[in-house]
Amino acid sequence: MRYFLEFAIDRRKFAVPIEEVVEVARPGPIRPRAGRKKNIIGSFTLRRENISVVDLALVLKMKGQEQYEVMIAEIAGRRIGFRVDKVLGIIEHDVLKPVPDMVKSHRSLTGMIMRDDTVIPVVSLEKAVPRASPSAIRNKARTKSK
Amino acid sequence: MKKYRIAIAIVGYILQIVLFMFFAQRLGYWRAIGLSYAAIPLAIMVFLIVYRKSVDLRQYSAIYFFGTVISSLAAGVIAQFGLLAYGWLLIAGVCTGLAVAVLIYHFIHIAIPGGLQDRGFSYFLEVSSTFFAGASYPLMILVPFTISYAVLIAIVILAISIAIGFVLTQPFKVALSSIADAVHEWRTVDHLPAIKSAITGRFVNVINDLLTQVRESFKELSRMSDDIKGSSEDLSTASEQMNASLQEVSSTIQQISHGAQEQSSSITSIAQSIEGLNSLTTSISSQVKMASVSSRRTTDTAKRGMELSKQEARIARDLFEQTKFISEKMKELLNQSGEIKKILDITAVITDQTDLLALNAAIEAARVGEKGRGFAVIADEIRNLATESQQSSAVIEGLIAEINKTVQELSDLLSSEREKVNDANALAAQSQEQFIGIVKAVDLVTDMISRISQAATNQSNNTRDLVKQVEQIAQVAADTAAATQEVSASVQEQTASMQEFTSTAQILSQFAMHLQTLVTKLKR
Repeated sequence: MRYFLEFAIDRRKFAVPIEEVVEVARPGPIRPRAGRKKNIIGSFTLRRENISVVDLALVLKMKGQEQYEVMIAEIAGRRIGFRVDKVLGIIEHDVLKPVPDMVKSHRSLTGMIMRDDTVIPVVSLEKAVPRASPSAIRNKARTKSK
Repeated sequence: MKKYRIAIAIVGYILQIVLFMFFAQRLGYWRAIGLSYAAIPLAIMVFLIVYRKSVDLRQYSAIYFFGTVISSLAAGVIAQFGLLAYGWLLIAGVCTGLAVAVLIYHFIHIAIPGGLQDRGFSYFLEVSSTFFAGASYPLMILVPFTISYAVLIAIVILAISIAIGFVLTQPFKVALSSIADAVHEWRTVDHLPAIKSAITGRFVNVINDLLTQVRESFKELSRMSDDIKGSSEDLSTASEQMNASLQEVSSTIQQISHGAQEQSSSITSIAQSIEGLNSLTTSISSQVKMASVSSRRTTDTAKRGMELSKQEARIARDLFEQTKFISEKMKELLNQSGEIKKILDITAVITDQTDLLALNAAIEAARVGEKGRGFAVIADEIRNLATESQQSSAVIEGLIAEINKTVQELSDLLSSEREKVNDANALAAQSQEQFIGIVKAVDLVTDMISRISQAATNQSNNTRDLVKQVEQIAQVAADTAAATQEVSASVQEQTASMQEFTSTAQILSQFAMHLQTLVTKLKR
């Protein structure tokens, strides 16, 4: 039995393995940041920590709503926020079906859940994060350790 | 005097008839002649009395004479022819007498009127006829003559009679002529040369005394005529003046009468006008009374309207206060709703945080795996509660929003109603003021109408009194006009009388002058 965190973007449901999510936040306004990378729309401060926010709608090539919630994941030792329209809740499911070939171009999709005759794509947050050079990541980690 | 003469004549002829009847009876068949002879003067007398209504002795004397002559001649002719029947003689005698009488009458009046004026000729005829009758009767009765003899004898007897009458009456004629001359010359008769007898002397003396008395009387008459003349002149002058005055008075009275008639007609016209005014005043009084009743009704209605307006204003004020109170309460309600909303907002925040915390707790529990399952269930329940709480808050918020909306609508409505009530209150106050003004105005009008009614009643009473007075005046004026007309007529009559009196005075004056002239002539 596996647990997934179900969320919605543009009235469509998605799920993410519960292991990838640290917490869910409802931050205030997201501050846009200049020179941001692709799909990173800005950052917000949570408990004095600046957290960058990736727009999952942009990642999934969809159009997000005005209201939003942010799922926070810890990837490569760094907490990154993912903007979704609404976090729906925790679901549990046994069978994770593979992604059809026709949507394999979305590297962030890792599988599908069939629930109440509804297909819920499972998104990997780690894969949704824009690729960055390992040196940059290390430098950032070093700076953070200092 | 004339009747006396007639009576003497009638008595004389009756005696003559009686005497002649005595002879006729004594002598037999000739009495018819006597009757016819007697019938002649009798018929003449009757004719004169009936036809002329009078008889003159001179006329009768002439008739007697000629009638006697002609009837005697006719009797002689009839006797000579032997017509001795009584009836025929009577008829013939009467007819002959009547015809002769008519002829003689016309002869006297037409042929010799001037001659008969002489009294001496009258006496002559009287005497001559008497002698002729006395001489001819015996001759014609006793002696049967032939016609020629009879006529001749009659003519002779007539001539003798005329001569005797002339001889016997001549002295009287001379004496009367002398007396007439003396009287005419207004002197006494000094002597009568033809007749110097005691009778004539006495007659002359009587005449002289008479003339003397007459002369004295004429003197007195002259003096009186002078006085009469003076008096009559004065009287004439005075009467003329009086006549002029009376004419002026008559003219003035006629003017007064005309004025009185005009005044009477004017007063009658005024009376009619005042009667019309009286009826008009009465009509006005009734109309004013009706207006007074209407005014009182209007006053009552206005007062009722004012009371209703007061009640309406009071109700409007109460309603205004109530709406104000409700509006304030609604404001409080809105404020409380706002507070509730704030609380709900806080609750929503808390619920949202709770939901988020529960979600995170569930995530944390899920990350733990099976060990955290129980915690995950609790977290999920908490999250469900939070979600229900959010839903309830949303429902409450929706309800509060609805309430607020309704309250706001009510508040708006109340505000509008308050404005309307306020307007109604203002209108009620204005209406009340207007009603007060109307009541005051109507009271004023009622008071004025009451005064007018009183004045109209007084005027009507005064007009009635005035009508009575004017009617009395009109009656007096009419009486005055009538009296003036009577006075005018009386003055006119008096003027006419005065004019007649003036003319009489003038005639009297002329008569006095004439009398004076005549007396002056007589005095010479």
